[in-house]
Amino acid sequence: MSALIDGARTNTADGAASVTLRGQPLRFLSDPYTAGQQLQDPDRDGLVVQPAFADTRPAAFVTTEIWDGFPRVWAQPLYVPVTGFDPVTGPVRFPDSLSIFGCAPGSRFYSPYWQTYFVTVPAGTDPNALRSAQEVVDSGFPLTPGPLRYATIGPQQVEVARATGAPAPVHPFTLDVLQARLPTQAWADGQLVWAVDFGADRFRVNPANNVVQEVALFRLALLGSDGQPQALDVPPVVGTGPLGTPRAADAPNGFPRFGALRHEYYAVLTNAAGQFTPGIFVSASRPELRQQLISQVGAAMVPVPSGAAERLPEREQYTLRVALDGSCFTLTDFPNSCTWFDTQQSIEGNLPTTAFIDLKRFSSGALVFFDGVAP
Amino acid sequence: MRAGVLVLLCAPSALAQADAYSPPAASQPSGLQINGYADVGFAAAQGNGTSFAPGDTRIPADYGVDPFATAVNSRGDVASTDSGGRFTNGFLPRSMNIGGQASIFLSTFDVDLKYVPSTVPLLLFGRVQFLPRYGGSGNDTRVIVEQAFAKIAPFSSLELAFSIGKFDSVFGIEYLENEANLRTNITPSLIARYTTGQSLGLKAFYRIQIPGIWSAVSLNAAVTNGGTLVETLSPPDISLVGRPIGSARLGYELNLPSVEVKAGVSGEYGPRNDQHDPTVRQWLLGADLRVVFKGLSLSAEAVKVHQDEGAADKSNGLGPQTLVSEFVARGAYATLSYTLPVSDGALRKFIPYLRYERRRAQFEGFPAYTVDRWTIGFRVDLWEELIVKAEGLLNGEVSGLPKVDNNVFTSSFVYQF
Repeated sequence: MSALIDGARTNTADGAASVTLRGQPLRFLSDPYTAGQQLQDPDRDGLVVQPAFADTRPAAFVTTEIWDGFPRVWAQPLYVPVTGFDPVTGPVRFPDSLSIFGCAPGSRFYSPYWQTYFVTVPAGTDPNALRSAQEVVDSGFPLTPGPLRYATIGPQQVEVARATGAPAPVHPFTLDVLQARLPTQAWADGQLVWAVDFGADRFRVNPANNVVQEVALFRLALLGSDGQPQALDVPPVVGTGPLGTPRAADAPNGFPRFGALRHEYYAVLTNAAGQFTPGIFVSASRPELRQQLISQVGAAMVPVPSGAAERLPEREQYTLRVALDGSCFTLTDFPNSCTWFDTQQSIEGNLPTTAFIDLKRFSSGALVFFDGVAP
Repeated sequence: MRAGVLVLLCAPSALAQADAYSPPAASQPSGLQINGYADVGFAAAQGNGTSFAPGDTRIPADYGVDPFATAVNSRGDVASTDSGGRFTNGFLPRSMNIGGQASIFLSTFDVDLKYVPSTVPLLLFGRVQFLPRYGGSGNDTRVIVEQAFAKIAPFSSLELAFSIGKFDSVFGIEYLENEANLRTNITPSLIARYTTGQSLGLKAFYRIQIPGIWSAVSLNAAVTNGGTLVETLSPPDISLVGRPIGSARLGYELNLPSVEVKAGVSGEYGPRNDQHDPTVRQWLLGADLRVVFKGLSLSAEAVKVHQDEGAADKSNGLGPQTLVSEFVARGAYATLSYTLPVSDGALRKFIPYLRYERRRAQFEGFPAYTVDRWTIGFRVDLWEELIVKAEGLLNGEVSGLPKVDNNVFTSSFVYQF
């Protein structure tokens, strides 16, 4: 995460896309997406709430790490000191102790994916006795496996991006309230660190080797005049499985366990649409956004929605959603009239295999919104 | 100095000592010679046969302990490398997969083919090994070409030879005992993984005798694909990186009537061949000493290793891995043995031996750890064909890693032909 914050300061593409520095405009809560300009809280840098679609539903995620050229990422141990286990409430935290990350960010084996182990600490132990994985191993205290957890180590002054004065972060298009995530202290390699904890069961691993299961992330694109794909400035689509193997969305009680490790691909629309012209849905209530898109991709790809579409109360859930044939926006049975590129199945089923270009990079970060739930 | 084109044929034992193993020369001046051996073992390891401690949840699992410690045969195969589902990153030996169960096994069936033409100063050599194994997925047997080289000695007046093909290491001295029928004890040292690997390329050997002071000086140098690391760590058969690795040993011998002293320094430098970036380097430095006096033999060797960090394209004899981690290590061993004088009957040799060794290593992102090991055992030679060996390995965790029960008893019955 620190690398992306540094990247934001030097205005790298990944940094700027992932982090909004304190006091700076929040892209998706400012022109042209929303009238006016809202700024990130002046005391903290913000992890950009990236709108997305997943399994036909509006979603959003943050990005805390980007892995270029790393074929696999695995869950490292996170040790949580406990005094025992209550049969009703579960593990009993050891008072005044901090969790111990098994790997520090300086290591290339660091990842924000953690396998929790509860360390049963005898009474009378110094709460700060265990400050590194080595000390935990050397202690010989009993270890009990716990849940998987997504937590990213970084600076103290960071949060999920939130507008100045707003009580909590929101989804930029639906304005659903998201959970605020503030850093807490922990140990890593004997040093005090700060970490933003996105909670338990936010990803899955292969049981045989603790390698984190990836999903495909599709960045919709058009072929440019030079024959190279040009990404559309629309929300990406988070898949539910690796490329070519979509699965049912794994989200018990609405809490998604997929999408925290994303293998990125271009999905090039030019090859697929055939006689149809894909359409990007933007309500007439967002004229500046419509105008910007038209200047980028032409008016044909940004049809004027029908009156029926504009009257839909949930129309903002379709903002910047891409349809196979944009003419469906003008029909009275919108949105059912559309074949949307909003699921892995739909994208892979409606585009030829040659439409997918592996960007050979992975991004990490939990889904912070999915199907009306802010996990 | 011995003269003549047939120096290879006339002085095979001396050359073999300094320039890797070659079977004894044929009694005839030319023709095909077939030699070989079989190594049947029996071993039992403590615990589950690995060095992975039950309470150690760190990953990669093979970075915080020494997975090579539970060796059970002369190839360095261990009782087990099962990490119990913990992620590993390719710092592992081959495994006999016996775990904590006592088992008999066939370590190696070796066939050597040697051809020495009568009219040209050539030696053509090939070594095929059959390695019967059983793994988690059933039959894991492999057949490997461990050596295949042509050696030429172009000048009759010089002890100079060039080899091309796949051959033994030139680093240090332990590679001289790679094969079970040659090795005094059974298991390789803790540093053998860095110095004893075969590789493919070119080699030159030169030795000059200095009779006035009972001495000789030799230089053994090679440029190869994989360097001298064992094949699980650095694949020898192709160059992944597109650049060769250079290695060499400069040796001195003092051959007095009553005592023999051999000393050498070795070095290696080049790109890591477990990844693809030629700027990711490795280097090794080593020193060795052998002293033989009235049946008493002392062998000692030390090595220091450094490998740069690279990208995430690690690949080695165990298959594709992930990160190319920075790695540093140093270690040393000393072996003391005594050849008891025996009769010319069935019992030809009885050699008790004792080895002590120590190794310190550190992977990127992990604390340094130090292990040590005592090895005690004996070797009995019956006639020229049969060898029986048994030894115990007492593995110790000195610092930086969890205690684990991983001592080993192993034995070996070798017949050679």
